Amino acid sequence: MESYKGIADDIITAAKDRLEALVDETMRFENRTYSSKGSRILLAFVRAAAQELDKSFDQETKIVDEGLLFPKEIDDRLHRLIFLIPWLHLLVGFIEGSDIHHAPGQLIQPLRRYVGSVIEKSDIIVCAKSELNYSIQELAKTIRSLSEIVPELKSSASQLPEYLFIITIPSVESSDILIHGVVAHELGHALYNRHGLGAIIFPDINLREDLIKDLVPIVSTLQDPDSARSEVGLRRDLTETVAKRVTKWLKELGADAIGVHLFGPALFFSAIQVLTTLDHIDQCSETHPPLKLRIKVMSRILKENYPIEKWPTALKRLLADWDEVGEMPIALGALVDNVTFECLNIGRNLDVINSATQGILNDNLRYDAEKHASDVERLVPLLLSLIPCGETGQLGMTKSIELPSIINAGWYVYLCEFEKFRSQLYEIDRKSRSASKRKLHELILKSLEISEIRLAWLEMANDS
Amino acid sequence: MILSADRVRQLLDSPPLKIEDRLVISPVLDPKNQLKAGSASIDIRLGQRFYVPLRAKISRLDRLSDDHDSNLERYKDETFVPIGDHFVLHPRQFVLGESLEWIRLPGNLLAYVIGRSTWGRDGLVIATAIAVHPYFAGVLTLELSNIGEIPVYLYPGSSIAQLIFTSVESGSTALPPVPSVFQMQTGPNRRGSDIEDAAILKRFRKKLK
Repeated sequence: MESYKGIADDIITAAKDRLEALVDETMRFENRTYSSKGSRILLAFVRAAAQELDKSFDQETKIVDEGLLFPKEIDDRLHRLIFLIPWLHLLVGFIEGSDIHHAPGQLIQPLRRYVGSVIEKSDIIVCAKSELNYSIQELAKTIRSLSEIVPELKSSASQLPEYLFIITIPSVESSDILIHGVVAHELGHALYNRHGLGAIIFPDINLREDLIKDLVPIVSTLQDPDSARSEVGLRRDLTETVAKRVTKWLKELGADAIGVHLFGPALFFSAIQVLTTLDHIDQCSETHPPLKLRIKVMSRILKENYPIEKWPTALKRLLADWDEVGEMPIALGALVDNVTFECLNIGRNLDVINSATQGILNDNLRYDAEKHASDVERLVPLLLSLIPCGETGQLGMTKSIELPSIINAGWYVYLCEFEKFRSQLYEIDRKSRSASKRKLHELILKSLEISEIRLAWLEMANDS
Repeated sequence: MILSADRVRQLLDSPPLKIEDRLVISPVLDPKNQLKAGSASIDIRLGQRFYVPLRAKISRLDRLSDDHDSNLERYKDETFVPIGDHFVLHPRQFVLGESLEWIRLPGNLLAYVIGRSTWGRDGLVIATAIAVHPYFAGVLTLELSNIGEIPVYLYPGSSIAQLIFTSVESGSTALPPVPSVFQMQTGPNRRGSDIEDAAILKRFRKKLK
């Protein structure tokens, strides 16, 4: 086994080089500014983890030198550590994207506060990436479970908050503050998982054994005769596939519903902007229902919770148009998708989704018709007069305005009063629609900055 | 007539019903200290964004040249310094900063931006273009320069300048709210590149060649 010892030494040397490069990279990132404390915590974790792994490889060298292990055993031991290296690289990518120059600081600070109010003991890292994608993932739990397998990670993992969410936004659109309303959908995912909503909603879904049964002969004819499954086995497989798909689609629809309860109409408007320019409206996948279905759920929840008939014509028309689209038949490709769609039967199950998702939020967190009407009345006139709407009230007694209210006021101006807003701007900013829109985004970003500073200042002043 | 701090407080406290007639300064984080009794100004704070000129990327600033606007884009590096952190301004360095406060003036007020003497004694010059005209809406761009001998730490959120308000008397008709080039200034700004009479000056230059 002498020859394999040489190979093992080479592998260890290469891995140690990689880890050293990682530590160097974390040093380089140390001098950058991040808007979230989470980035620094993660940076410290990556560095500590890389250093610990480096030490562990020294230990492995000694074990290999003893010559007592078979090649397979050596490989298994080394792989236990090596598989973490690409993962640490991934974490470094998140840290890099969360540099304050990539992700707008004015947005992230109030967003951090908001997420903290929705999910206690949490922190976020907002990472701007070049991909056209919004996503959320919780890291602390993953790191903690990994540290059970790899004890080298344990001490650095203990520094992490209970929940550390990585929220990715597209870097090209990082300043387009209004469409970041879709973050409410991503938060919906976090809440859906945390409250185990899948287990609450799923029992109300009829899995439509009748439709699955009808599928069996069709799928059966498509099988390779040599390895064909029995009818019973096929039916079991199909039931499992449909159940998995229903669970995943429900998760998306549930996150949309929570998003509407958190951010109100703003989630609907931003989701339309983001999603309609991403995929075909009928396209679905194993994990995502078709956009048409998602829009249907969101618009129905809005209609049930908001006095749409009192809204201005522009909003009423927008909602009515999308409502009509939601009613159109969906051209689903695969047969399982059709069955999944029938199982979900939104017409029947919407109330279940609506009440389950609404039930997990307290009154303070829930954005509702009353708040929306008040925001339109108080905040929209400010934006139209080129005044940020980050605070209201008398001097010395001003109150900070919450993130969902600011975003909703911004959407209202954009959809209903944009020309009035434009008319206030200087000719260069009126020249094109996008130039005017940029100014609106900047005004909203300033509103968010003022709202956050007002609260943070008070906290610091009282924290003697 | 210059407005006393007390009068400014009144205007902020009991604003006119019509939004366009209001004086807006937002946020005023510590009204008692920013509007000191007996003074005739309001203190304003340093904001979180800076434009730092990149000398290595540009050969000149020539407001008569056709590529001036595109030059300006290459000229700056935008830096965000959150409250709690600092920006080091070195001797002879020039950067653009912003006020933390959003200012909106009604048609009957004009304001002057003046540096605070505390900072001036450290070598910091805060603004050179100091007049803020009626109907201005935005953050103030602060032209920050260290004319001292040693580096100065700038802290976003600290009181760095003061605004002095004076009333504006209109002629036969009230000033109309015409949006200016500095309207909706949402960060440190180098805008306003068109110099007056540029076309005439260019003709002069052509004649000399």
